[in-house]
Amino acid sequence: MRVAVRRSLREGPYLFVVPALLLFFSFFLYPAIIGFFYGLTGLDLRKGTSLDFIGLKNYVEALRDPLMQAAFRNSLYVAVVSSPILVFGGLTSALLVAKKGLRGKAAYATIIILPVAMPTIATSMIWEFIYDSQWGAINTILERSSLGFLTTAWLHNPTTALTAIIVTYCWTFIGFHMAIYFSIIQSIPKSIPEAAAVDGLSEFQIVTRIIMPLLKPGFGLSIVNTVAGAFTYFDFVFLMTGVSGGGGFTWTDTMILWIYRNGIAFLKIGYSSAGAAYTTLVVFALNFVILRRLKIW
Amino acid sequence: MVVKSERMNVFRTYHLKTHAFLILYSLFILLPFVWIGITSLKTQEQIYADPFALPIPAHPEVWLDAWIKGRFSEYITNSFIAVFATLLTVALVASMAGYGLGRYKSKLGPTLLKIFLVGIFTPNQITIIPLYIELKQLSLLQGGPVTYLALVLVYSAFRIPFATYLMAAFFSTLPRSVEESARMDGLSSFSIFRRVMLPLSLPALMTISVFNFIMTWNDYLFAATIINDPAYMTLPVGMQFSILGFYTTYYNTAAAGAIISAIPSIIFYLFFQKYMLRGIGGLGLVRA
Repeated sequence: MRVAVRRSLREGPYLFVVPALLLFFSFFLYPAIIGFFYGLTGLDLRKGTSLDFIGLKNYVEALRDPLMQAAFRNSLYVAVVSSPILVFGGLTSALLVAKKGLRGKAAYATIIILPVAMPTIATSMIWEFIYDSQWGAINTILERSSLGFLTTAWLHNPTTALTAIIVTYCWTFIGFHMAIYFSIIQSIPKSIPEAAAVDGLSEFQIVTRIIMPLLKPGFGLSIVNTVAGAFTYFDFVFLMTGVSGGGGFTWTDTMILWIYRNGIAFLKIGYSSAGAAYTTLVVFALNFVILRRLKIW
Repeated sequence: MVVKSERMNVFRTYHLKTHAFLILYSLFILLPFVWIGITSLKTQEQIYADPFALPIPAHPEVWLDAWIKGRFSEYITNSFIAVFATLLTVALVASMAGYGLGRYKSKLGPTLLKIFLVGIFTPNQITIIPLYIELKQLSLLQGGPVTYLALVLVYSAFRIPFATYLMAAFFSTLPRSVEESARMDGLSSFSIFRRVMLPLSLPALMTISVFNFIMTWNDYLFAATIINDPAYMTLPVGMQFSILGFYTTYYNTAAAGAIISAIPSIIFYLFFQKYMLRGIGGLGLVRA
């Protein structure tokens, strides 16, 4: 018996899996789970390291926090605006670039995916220049086309700041979604659309009736990614407006910014963990509903 | 014949529109780079005088200035150490796990794969606060060389689920005979993995590593949270530390800094974009 166990340990898969599982668990899964527990404690590193259990106090207070409400609203806004742009933008550009016999395919694909590979700090700086109120590209163009009355400080105006960030976000990540759809389209055997064309289906019908159903796993991943991103994408929001905390944190902060400020900046670990727990639950719930609707899960 | 030539015509105009759309979109992506490039070669006065004018006379010394003040050589070295240690760790650990899960029939195998799948769908940013506490408890946030260790542990953990999943999918497609002949030769499981399987999986590992490079090299959030020691800053946080101060006063230096910081990523991307596309495409194949 003992020998058999030892043998299966030596010969079976488990020893191979242990290092990966250990790393994954210790620095990803464990912190993801323990956060729910921290949310039930009053852990506050400014006061000390005591883990006193305070029940649902943080969870209730966070819900009443106007800053968290604003962060939640902002995240929803990002999701509602960016998801359709990313999904349809990615899909459209993938369908166009994948067209049979199109010249310069590779060059188009390279350019469209390029921003995904950029460091976010460089992208934020470039776009901060574009949005600059004095000499930025947008205001300069507006002034020269006698639309000077439209100029504004795009990133420091409560009505435009978050939308401006979303533009940068979509500019960057359409290429990511394009790559998802593009690789699936490329993996479809050429004979399938060709046979459909012989059967007299139009280009449009081939796309809607033959290609779209095959793209379903891509849609699942792509939509799930945009929804999760709206709540948890950090870099552009923080770098473009978040550092200065525009508008007392209510103009552009999304959930991850709220979590970061309360946890890392103010060291209110318990309190920020409650917000993180809400974020996790909302993201998983939305994703579950979406994947269910697409009949992927 | 008439029908056919009409059809060709339809396709041709269609491609014309396609090109028009794709060229416009490409310009939308590329023009910001061009404009920042122009800006980085001007003096402050030239920028204010006309933001769109060509840099005549050009001031390439701005770049030298940005390179020195930005301390880029230091930060790029730090990034290289942290990122390549991560890539090696993930390649080794995930190919082993992928081999175990993709080749062996075991009771726990499917469950383990599902656990990794949860990791793929969990946004890693939500771990930021507990991870901060954990690393603090392990005394990995005190600065010094342990900073590298903290970065590698965290980055590896984030990249392992997808890498393992892809490797398992890859190994499960290899024919049985590969292994059997090695076993006949009396090789142990581990030697089969090391001498037979690992070499076969190099293209798959390449795809994973290129994808992981882009994801870790450009990370800002975790680097900003983990690194407390300016001497160990990676490119994104280091460059924010050294260059962002110029942002409000010296636009040209800041613009040059932004481009310099993007150059390693862009070169890497242009060399390995085929793998990058495959990596993201692999994500599209992940399903429950």
